[in-house]
Amino acid sequence: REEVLNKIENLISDLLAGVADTGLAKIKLSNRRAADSARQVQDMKLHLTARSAADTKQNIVAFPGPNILNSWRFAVLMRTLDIISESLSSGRVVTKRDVYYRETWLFKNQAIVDRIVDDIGRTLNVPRAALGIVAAQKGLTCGTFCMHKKDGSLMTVEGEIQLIPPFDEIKCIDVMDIDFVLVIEKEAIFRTLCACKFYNRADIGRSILITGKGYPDLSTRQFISYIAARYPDTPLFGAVDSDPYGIDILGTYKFGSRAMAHENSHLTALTLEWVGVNVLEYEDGWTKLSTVDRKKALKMLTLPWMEAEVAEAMRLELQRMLFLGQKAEMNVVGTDADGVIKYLAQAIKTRLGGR
Amino acid sequence: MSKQYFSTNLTPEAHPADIFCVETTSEYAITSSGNSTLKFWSATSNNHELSLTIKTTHRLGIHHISANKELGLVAAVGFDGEISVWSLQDCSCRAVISDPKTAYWAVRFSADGEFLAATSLDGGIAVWNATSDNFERCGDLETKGSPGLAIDYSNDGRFIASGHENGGLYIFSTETARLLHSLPGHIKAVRAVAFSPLSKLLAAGGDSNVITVYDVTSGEQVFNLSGHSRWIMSLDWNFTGEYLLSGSFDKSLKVWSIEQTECVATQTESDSAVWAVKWSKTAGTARPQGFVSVGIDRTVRWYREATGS
Repeated sequence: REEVLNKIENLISDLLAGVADTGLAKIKLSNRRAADSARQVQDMKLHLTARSAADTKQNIVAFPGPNILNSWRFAVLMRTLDIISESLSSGRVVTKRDVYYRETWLFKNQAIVDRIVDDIGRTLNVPRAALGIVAAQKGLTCGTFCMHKKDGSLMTVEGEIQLIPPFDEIKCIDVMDIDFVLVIEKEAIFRTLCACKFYNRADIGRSILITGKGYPDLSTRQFISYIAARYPDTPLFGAVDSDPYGIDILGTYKFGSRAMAHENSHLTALTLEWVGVNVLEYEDGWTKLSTVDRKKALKMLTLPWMEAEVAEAMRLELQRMLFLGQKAEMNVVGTDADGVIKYLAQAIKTRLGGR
Repeated sequence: MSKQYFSTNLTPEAHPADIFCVETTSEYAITSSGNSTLKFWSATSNNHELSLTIKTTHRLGIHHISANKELGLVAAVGFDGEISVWSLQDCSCRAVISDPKTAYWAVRFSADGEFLAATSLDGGIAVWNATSDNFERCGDLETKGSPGLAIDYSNDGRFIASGHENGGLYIFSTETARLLHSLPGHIKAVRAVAFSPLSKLLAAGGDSNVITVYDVTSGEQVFNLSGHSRWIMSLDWNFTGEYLLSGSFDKSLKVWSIEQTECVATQTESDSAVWAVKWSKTAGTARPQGFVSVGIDRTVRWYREATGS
């Protein structure tokens, strides 16, 4: 915390020095999206040249700027740094939503806050959590296990759906003798599984169920990554829709996302095994792959991790979707209403049986 | 009267992924898969060994192939939407055709080797001059805009047929570049179209599980062939026009007698979907008629008719 506060102080004092020098206040921000190779700015340097021949890796934010947009960006950056220092000094933790709501008129939308916070993290070369900002929790979990929190409290999950707490609040997770963990793309299916007590069955045993409600947030990914690392012998399964987005979500859990490339090592779960649903395994219920879907599938096939052997099944799945021009949602698998439950139970049983 | 076929040879794990397409010439069976390699298997030897491979630039995989013996060329379409054309003599790349606005899908050389035609996902059909050095585009046919999944040239060169995702099925005249027939019979995707060898009939099949056969001149639907329980992925006529071969998502392939308009053989050796089937083109030799099938099980399967009863 001290370190981050110091870094911010340095940033500002450099900026002020620059003002004294040239009459212009400038900051160089590291743009996370451009830096595929995850290079980070080590030192804060001020540039004297104005104009935004925006260096693709670094954005120069200046005041006074050449136009209103630049001035606005400067204001957004300053206010965010302000809020961050405030939280760090007071020891409070805020969510990105909290930051947004502090000055909605300035930030205009949540995405702006999300981006600037990540950019600051990258520029200062610290993980976002060190800035005292956490994402609002999105992930849900269910089963029978408990989590020891850093504040000393014990959070037990006993067959009721709970929000996955921000990872920094968790000291450790005790899975208490489960047979597997299942990560599910969609909330609706997750709730269906919880309702029928999928986490405690005679045929496949006891488990923890998790959903990130679509693309998972960092807390959910950290939660799963922790379990994968701490309990490497416990099978970790993932179930997604048979469409390019489902595969992408699975890839995010398993390999990480490009946006957070600089934090990926503690966010991935390479042992996550894809169990379905395979696009070929439906009786009916396929829909046409749209042009947007096709573009997405093609884009995914060109990603570097797709060429690895561990991604083979996912690569094939995307090719089959393209070849057939079809996709399908997990909920319509099988011939009756519990089709998806039966499908997942069978898929997991087969895999557990082989161990 | 039924026919008996048996599998004479199979090459398992012929490719590291699904085998999406097979094409045959008198020398080879050519297969393509989810990676960039085209594999050429000897059609004439008994163990059908791998004779040749061409590594293309289609990194995302190849799903359609067409070969022309006269030209000594093979055209491959990748999931990237591009067409690449390769020489069979020296394995060099003769042309790469792409269109930034759309992706090509199915491709076919005309029988005489003069032209190459391809469908695209925007519904159009493009034709190129295959004998010119730079494969210049010489024609465009328009349809209603539904992705074109299948294409065929009639042997006499007079017609092009295309099948589309919305069930559209069309026959165009190559002389006038005009639409001759918009054929009814499919409301779901048409995945395979094939002209009979004498260019008199057109067979079409797809997600309706039924093969529909039309008279090319009149456009009349003359009969149907039912029996598959899932989508029809591939159709091919034998060189006499007496038999039609079909491969299906239902994991089987069927041989149909045109005269009797019924199925005379069903092969169920594969435990997964059959993506493509083709009669072997070694007819006219002493060999009895046979065919090749490929699919999800990554195996190239050769079949021959059982001779003697």
